[in-house]
Amino acid sequence: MRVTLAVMPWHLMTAPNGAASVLAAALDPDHDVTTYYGSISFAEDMLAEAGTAAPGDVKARLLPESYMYVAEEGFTGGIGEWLFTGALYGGSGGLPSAAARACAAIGFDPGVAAEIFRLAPAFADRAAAEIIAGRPDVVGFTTTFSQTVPSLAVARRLRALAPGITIVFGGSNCDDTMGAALHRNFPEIDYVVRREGEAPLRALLEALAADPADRPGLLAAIPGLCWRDASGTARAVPEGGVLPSGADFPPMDQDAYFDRVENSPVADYIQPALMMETARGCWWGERHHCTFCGLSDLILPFRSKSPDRVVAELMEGVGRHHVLDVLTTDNIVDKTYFDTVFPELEKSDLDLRIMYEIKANLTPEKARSLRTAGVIQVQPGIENLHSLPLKLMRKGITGASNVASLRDLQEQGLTVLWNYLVGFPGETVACYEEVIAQIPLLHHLQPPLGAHRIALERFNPYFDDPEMGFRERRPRAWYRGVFPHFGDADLTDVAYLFETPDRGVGGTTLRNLKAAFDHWRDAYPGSSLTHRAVDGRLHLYDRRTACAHADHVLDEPVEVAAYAALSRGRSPESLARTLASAGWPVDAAWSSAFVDDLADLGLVYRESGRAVTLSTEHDPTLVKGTAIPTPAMVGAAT
Amino acid sequence: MIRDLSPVDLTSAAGVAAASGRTDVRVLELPLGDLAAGTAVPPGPLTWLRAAAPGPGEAFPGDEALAALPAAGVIGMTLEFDARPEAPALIAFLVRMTSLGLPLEWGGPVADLPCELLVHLAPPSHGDAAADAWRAAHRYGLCYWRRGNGFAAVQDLRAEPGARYVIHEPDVLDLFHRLADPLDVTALPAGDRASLADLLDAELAVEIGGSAVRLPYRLRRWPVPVIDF
Repeated sequence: MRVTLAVMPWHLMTAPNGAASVLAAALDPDHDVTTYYGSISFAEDMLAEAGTAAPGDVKARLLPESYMYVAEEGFTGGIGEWLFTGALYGGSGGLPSAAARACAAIGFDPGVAAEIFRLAPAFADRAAAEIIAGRPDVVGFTTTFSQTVPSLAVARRLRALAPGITIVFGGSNCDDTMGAALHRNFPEIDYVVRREGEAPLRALLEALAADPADRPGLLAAIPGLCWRDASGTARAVPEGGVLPSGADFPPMDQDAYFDRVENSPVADYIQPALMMETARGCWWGERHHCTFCGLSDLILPFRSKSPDRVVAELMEGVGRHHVLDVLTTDNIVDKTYFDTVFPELEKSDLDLRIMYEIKANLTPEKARSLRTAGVIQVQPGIENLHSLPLKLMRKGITGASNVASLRDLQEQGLTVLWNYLVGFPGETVACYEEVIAQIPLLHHLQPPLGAHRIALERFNPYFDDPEMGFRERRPRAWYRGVFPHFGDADLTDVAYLFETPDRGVGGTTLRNLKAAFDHWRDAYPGSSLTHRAVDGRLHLYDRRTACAHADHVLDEPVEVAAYAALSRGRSPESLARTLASAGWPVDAAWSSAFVDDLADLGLVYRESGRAVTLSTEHDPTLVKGTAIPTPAMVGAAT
Repeated sequence: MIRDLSPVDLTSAAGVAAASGRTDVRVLELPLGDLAAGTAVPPGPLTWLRAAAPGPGEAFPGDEALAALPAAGVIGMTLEFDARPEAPALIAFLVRMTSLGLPLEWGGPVADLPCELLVHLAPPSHGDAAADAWRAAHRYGLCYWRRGNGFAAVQDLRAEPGARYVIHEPDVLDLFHRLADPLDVTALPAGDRASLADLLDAELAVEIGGSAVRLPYRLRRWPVPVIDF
């Protein structure tokens, strides 16, 4: 069959689309697959429009950075979906006022949004024409984040212009009840494939090629498939087929993306990266599903590729596309890679820049292993620095341990992307006040991107079990605006994001936290707290902006040993036990006094009875407080 | 007892020199010729190196000798000379030091150098008007290369609009790596001559007085955070 995989806005165009890359490889060579990168085409349209703008005209800002802003920041407010409602539903009105308000709320100029809204219909026309020109039998749309309405806009046009084309939807926005609701309410969607798409999509293509008499039986046997029977009734096969193992994952076929982006004017504004998939699911979530995490239980089982395959595919991708930046689709890195993949990458001596999500419980050795492998940007799932909210989240980690991880990552000069989550049923104001008071001590470590109240998302434990504290919930308001013809039940079925009454701490605490983080962001570039061992003594250099500059020295071997032991969060009793078992004749009273002395100098973070040290090995080659210039930064007119 | 000490300025030679009597910091004189010949910095305190430039016939230290400095406690270097070293050798040294990321103090007249091609390298802290201009234009990450398997990816933002290159042709790539040290171009075979012409044209190498050297440095440390929020 001739299959076109359509990747629509608002796919982050800095890397190949993961779903399309996997499916293209999975369908090859049995089927003739092309990938249509509508994301890049639309960004090109925006850029071309910007090129016609007079100076000062809002159109001049239709640059790739505006595209990326919608793609990266617009999801929770449904911005990307709003912007294509005109293309989907028609009508002569401009950007709906609810959409304009949502844009303003995230700092996106409604004037620019209105221009995008205006451009979308003509783009959808051309996208449909271009897809049809390829004479596909089947067009598959992948829907993740804000791709649903743009995909529907093009699907509607395909149905009108080329009714013989079979239209399939898949992707994260189609999981569970969401895909079934879309299928029921949009007749242009012939089939919805849910969850991991390789096997169901292959089976669907076989069914489509089979004798029509056999087809219903074949379709009804494809796990998760939404289809229509002879009478036109929408049917949904229950989900839950066998999940592919790591050995079954096809290597991503990224040629379509790199061919597409190579000669695109948009390429001057972005730094294309490779996309790698090394695992699916989450080995922590399999056992303890973090309560705020919207990954479905059905796909939580952790499956990873063998280390040899990972290294081989990475090397192949780097050599083939001449790209050294790598994004990974993994929800969490396989623990065993620290002993296998990362040492191999270190040996390769390539200047890779890899981004990974990791579990937060690091050691200095693991942090070093990440850096030497080229994993210089991590998302460690830190979420909070106090043990009570962390326990409510089922993170399996303490506040002190998270601070130790921030410290170890800072020591290696790795970029840490993390958020502070607030609003858990059962948390107290003290959980936040104790942290806010100590944030000045952390100014030399990387601040969070922001503080957010947790969102109720489909599939998170709070969603599945209302008794955990979020009993009242309803779909976010924008779903009504974007699917105006849905009834209430279908709206609930199609939504991923829900509104709930706030739980946990109030607005004042959240505001105080954000203010403390603002100071932290300002202070970070100029702050450091480092140490160096010389002749058995430990020297400390405190250059944090919130503390008076000071140097300290620990002269006595027992103090140096105690300081080293406190690199992991410990209570005074635990410290005394550790030192005693190493032969140091100290008791809990001595340990307690020592920790107090360190605390008086701001040298430890204390939480839930534990103290942890904060200093990093002195390293004059660490680069802070500056960004590597990018073409967009140098060439941008605004 | 945790003792307090007067805070020392660890970011400059003057700062370290002012902290006399400390056992944790020191200024150490070590001629670069000796470092190149194999003399190591004895590990111990945080050390600011006062490094005399190599004399005639002496080489600047290479990658291995320089890479060992941070682990030995070196936190910065002052390059000292009466007569400025030959330009190609000096540029090659600046490329290595910028890659290493150790603070480097040096200065003097630089008006005769192609400074607009050198703004990405560790700038002189004092000198003539050209030195001032270099220092003002300097930013981290303006012209660097990264090692791939069988290629070198170069990013050049010394001037607008900026350029990205992938050097993958084996001959050009080989020459690019050989240009890490000054290369006598007077006796180059024709193939290398052609490759050199390409690199000079792209301003990724410079030829001064019959000697050529490459200009981008290998980017070893990404800034923290690597994204400008």
